[in-house]
Amino acid sequence: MNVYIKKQNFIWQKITSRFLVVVFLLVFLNMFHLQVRDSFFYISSPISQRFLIAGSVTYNFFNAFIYIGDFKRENSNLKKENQNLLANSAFLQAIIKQNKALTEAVANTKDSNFTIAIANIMGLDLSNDLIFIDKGLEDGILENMPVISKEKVVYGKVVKSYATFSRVKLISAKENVLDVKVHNSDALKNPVHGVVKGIGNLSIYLDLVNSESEIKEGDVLLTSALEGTFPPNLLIGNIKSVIKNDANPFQQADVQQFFDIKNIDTLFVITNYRR
Amino acid sequence: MMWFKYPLIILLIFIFALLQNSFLQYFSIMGATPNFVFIIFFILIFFEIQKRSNAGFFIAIVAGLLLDMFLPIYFGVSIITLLIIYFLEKELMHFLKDNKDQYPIKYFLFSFVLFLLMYSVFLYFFSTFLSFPFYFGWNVLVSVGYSIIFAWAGFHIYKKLAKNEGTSNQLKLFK
Repeated sequence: MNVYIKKQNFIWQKITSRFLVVVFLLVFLNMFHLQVRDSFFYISSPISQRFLIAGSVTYNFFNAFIYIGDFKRENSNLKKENQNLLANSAFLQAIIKQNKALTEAVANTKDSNFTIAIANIMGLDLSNDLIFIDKGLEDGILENMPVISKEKVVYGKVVKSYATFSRVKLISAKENVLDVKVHNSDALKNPVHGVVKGIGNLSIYLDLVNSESEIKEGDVLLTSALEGTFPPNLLIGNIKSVIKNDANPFQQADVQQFFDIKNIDTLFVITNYRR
Repeated sequence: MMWFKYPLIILLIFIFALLQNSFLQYFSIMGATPNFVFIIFFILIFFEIQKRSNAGFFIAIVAGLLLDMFLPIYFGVSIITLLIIYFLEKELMHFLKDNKDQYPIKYFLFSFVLFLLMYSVFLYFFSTFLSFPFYFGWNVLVSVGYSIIFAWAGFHIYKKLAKNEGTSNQLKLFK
């Protein structure tokens, strides 16, 4: 019996002591709840931040697998959109370039009262020194119209005109002959005349220059308008070297042409010069 | 060797409390996350040897304190709730106790769900009187379901660890 009473007393003591511990603890914690929380978060925040970063990284890792289908689709759409934008950008750049070339050409030809039509090169046949431009009969392009660049460099003339495109023979074409004059800085002196002949493969040379006339390396060749196709004073090239032979009544010269077919895509057709 | 158990329990509950409120927030379902602190508390009291009941009392206070730390109210709500759950769980286990060395998972899960729901109900009850926000809806059920997965895993892990110490908390109903 004493043992039973002792055991009961012990249990009550235990319950009472635990109750008091809980009450004391709750009173203490709530009296200093701000300090307790501050201390706890001060101690735990470095660990908590690490866990947050780890959580974010892990979440994004699994997210990539879950939404991989969406990412693939979005990637594919973005690629298509990028390609479209690149195409539009290239188109707009071509227009800007064309407009700039037209502005320059108009500025360069305004004193000559030319009417010019802008044309783009759409094909090359360099074996025959031919090019194709994207303007034709519908644009008012006719045969024998001169074709120049915005810097007034002669390229050739229209040899065949179709509805929407035209064939242009370069001045370097075989058997092409162009009457020229050598630019002279002294305006009082008589110009030296000759002809520029095409030898194919984008090359030309000067021929039929009077052997007594003075020509030298670096002299610039211009159109003379004597044959009636090209207006006068259009640029052709400059003399690379003079070939003089006492047995020959005429002197010749190697010519470095100014036209550069591989680095140009916009040309101009003079539509109002015909003799 | 027994002395280090209490600091270890504090550390374990502390780490899992931080995990619950930081790492796991990225993996919430309908805004609900598993209650790691409650899971650890329940596993520890479930496997507690009946005679040594001081540890359970200590665990209830520590777990309750850490749960209250993240609630926008005064301390005591979770502490008192977990102490009540602890005493109720002891009584329930008293009826189910057996000497055989087996741990029926179904008794564990049943009592776990029961007491976790009880904890949520108590929180909701206190929230109406103490005016702190606590939403009692589908998120509670989702949280319980989410917690069951980790409780199940924790049960088996602790079972393996506790087996070596010769602890025995056999449950048998309707013998």
